[in-house]
Amino acid sequence: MQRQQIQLPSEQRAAVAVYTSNVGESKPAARQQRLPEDDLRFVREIFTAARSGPAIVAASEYAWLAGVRPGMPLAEARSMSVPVRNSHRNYRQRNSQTPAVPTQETQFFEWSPAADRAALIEVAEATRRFAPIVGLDETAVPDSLMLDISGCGMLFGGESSLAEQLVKRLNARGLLCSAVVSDSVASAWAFAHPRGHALMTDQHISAQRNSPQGAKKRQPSEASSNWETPVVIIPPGQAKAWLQPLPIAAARIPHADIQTLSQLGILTLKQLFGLPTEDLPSRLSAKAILRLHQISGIDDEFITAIPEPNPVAAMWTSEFPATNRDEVRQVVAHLIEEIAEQLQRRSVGAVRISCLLKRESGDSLSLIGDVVKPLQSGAELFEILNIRLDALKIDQPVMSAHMTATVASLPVARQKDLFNAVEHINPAEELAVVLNRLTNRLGKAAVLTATPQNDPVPENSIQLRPIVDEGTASNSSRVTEQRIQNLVTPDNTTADKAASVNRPLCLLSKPHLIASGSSSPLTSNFTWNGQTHSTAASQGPERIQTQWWHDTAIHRDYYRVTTNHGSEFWIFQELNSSQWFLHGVFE
Amino acid sequence: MSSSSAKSLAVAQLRRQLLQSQPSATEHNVVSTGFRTLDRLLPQSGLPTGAVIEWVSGGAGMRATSIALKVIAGYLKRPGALAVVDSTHSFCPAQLEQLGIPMSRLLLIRPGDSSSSSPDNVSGSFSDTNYQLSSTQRSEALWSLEQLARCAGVNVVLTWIDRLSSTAQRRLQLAVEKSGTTVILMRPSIAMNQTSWADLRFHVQSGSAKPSADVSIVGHGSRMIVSLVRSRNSVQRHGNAVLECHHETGDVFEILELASAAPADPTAV
Repeated sequence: MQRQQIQLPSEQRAAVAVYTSNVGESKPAARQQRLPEDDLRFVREIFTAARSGPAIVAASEYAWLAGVRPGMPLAEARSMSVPVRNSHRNYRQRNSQTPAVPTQETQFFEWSPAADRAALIEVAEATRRFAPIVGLDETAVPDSLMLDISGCGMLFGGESSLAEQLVKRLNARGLLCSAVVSDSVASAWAFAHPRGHALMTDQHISAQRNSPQGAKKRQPSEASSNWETPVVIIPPGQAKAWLQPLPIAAARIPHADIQTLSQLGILTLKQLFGLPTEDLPSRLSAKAILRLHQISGIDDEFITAIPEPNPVAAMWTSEFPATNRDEVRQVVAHLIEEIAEQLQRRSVGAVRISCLLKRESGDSLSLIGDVVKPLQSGAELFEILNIRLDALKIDQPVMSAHMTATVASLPVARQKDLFNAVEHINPAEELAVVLNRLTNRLGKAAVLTATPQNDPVPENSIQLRPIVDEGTASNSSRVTEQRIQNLVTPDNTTADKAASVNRPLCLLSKPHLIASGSSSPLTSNFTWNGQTHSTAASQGPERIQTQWWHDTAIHRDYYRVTTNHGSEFWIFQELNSSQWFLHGVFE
Repeated sequence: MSSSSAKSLAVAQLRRQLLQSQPSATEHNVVSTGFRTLDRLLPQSGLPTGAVIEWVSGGAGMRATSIALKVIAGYLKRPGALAVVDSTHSFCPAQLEQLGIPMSRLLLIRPGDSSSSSPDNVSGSFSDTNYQLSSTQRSEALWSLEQLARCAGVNVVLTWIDRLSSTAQRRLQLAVEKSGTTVILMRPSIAMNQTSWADLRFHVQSGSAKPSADVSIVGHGSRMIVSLVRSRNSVQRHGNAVLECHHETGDVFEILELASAAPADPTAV
């Protein structure tokens, strides 16, 4: 993971400030030429002055000396952008190594996030030799590159050496940057931006510059902000401990949530981690909770890869179209062969195969196959696409086909035993193969893992999540691999049974109404699914209710009911309506 | 000696010889159920791996699945996942850890669109005889079941299924023989009248409704009587296992016979 900062061209280095367009512009035609709405929202949050007109978002060192500050209205900044000889003299006394200050006025440029992004992508291309997956950080205004260097360290003499070589390479291109190596995207970003986003207000920058400990006594977490320490390596599993002294802005939580927390006196991540997790959703936005989960390691975060300029692709066109499914299958098989050959040549595996089938009418059918672990074998890739092809409706001749592969580094190959293959079966590898088939035929949402939740409401007691995440994040395969490993590995630790209570294994997704009004199923019969059940005994109530601030209020008294035939059901009385529902069956 | 007693003696002797001739249980291919009385009913004093095992429930809410899961916990001491094919989308794994299964080992397969399997269409519980799956759901569930049964990375596959053709059963049998995966089929009571290709078939009835007269039992929860009704390629042993589910925790445990009131043999010391 690395953070970069583009060094300004020498002719612009003197005194440069970047300002936003007029965010108050209301004409739709004019707005199209200006900042996108997302960027506008971000700027309005950070810079209050930008709500009423153009405002400075960044200033160079010399523009700063001229009195230009981020967050300042453009008109005010222009009035201050005079040559700054006196200020410069004072500054040079403090720092004799500062280059000569030009005497021209500060130049102002309109901010273009799109151009920034394009420049950042250009830098990303220069880093491709260090990692198979390179992406931008997913903030409103990205200013860092994210590299998935899993397994790449050994090629460069270790991860530390890799990071040093990366920084040197970018320095050679005239870029000043630092790199942070960590085991999660969130913690890498946090250490690269210890005080939050790079676009900081005047107040933030002043605080950073004037901090008495700023230059003398740096925390480990602050090292990355110092360009003199270009590489920071966070040992695996220690990110959370290192994060604790950082301010809450390092967690990338929205500005409004930062303000809320600041009002409550929560200023550091240590304080934030100490808050009861069940109370946070009622006080913070969903995005803030997600960011907090990501930085705590509860939720995974993926790097969205920048598409390669030279992708693994194959194309088929013919004068004679493929008219039926079998012919299309042959075309797909042919393209897969070409793709597999390219994958082998590049020593990478495919995590997704996309095939666009162009029909006679001119529109296209999309055939997409995802794999759990990167695959190179043409036969296995074809099997996955073949499953998808069976579900595709081919009602018109296919004129051409274009296939591309999203690639990732291959897992380390393991040699199999020659004479006793059974003893050396790797359950995780075997499971990955069947998961490929299941997810491609049934869909990702049908293949799930379960995690217990600390929620008394039965419907919310378990969180189900697809074992293969939705989306196209290329490094999701590493996360999936870990999940598969957990599935097949026996857990020697005993489950904490004391915390569990008796819950039915069959929980109806929608409670079934069995009685209302004065009739109680605890003392009489109830009918469910066409059968009448006579209650012989009941146990309860167990009251389950949500807190008052939840949108859907739940107030229920649950009972375990045993019928004359020995069947056990879980029923509840809704306290608001006095209706009785059957919610579960003790299977 | 009368002819009938001679006949029964001969049958008993034959039974003994057959039991001795059966392949001996090895640690590799047999897993203890965790219940001594249930182990005693089984040909190799445990459940085989790479087999199809049916659990027939006497009705909805008889806790047959709880018992099956408690038994499955023994299989999961070995590497491999527990796959649950849940066509009704109503399986709630909150109780798994109480039954000795870490939730991290669960792979939940829910074929079919969740909207089409809402209670409007599938209104029964797993072992209810009234629930109806659509043909798509059924075929997707069977396909998933077979794929998982063929996978050596899956330790146990559990599913609820009301009807199963002989062809499908035979395919499952061949799949598990090759992969070593164990398939647990939870069946409704109507399955008792259907042909079975399973290696073992258990029947679970409520002990609360039909108490066993020949067993003195004590306990504090719902009682279940488990009997082995089919055992392929082996001689079936008669008897029941009485299990109880704890009211507070939902855990399943064994109800043992009380010790005999007769004084202990002094020479045995």
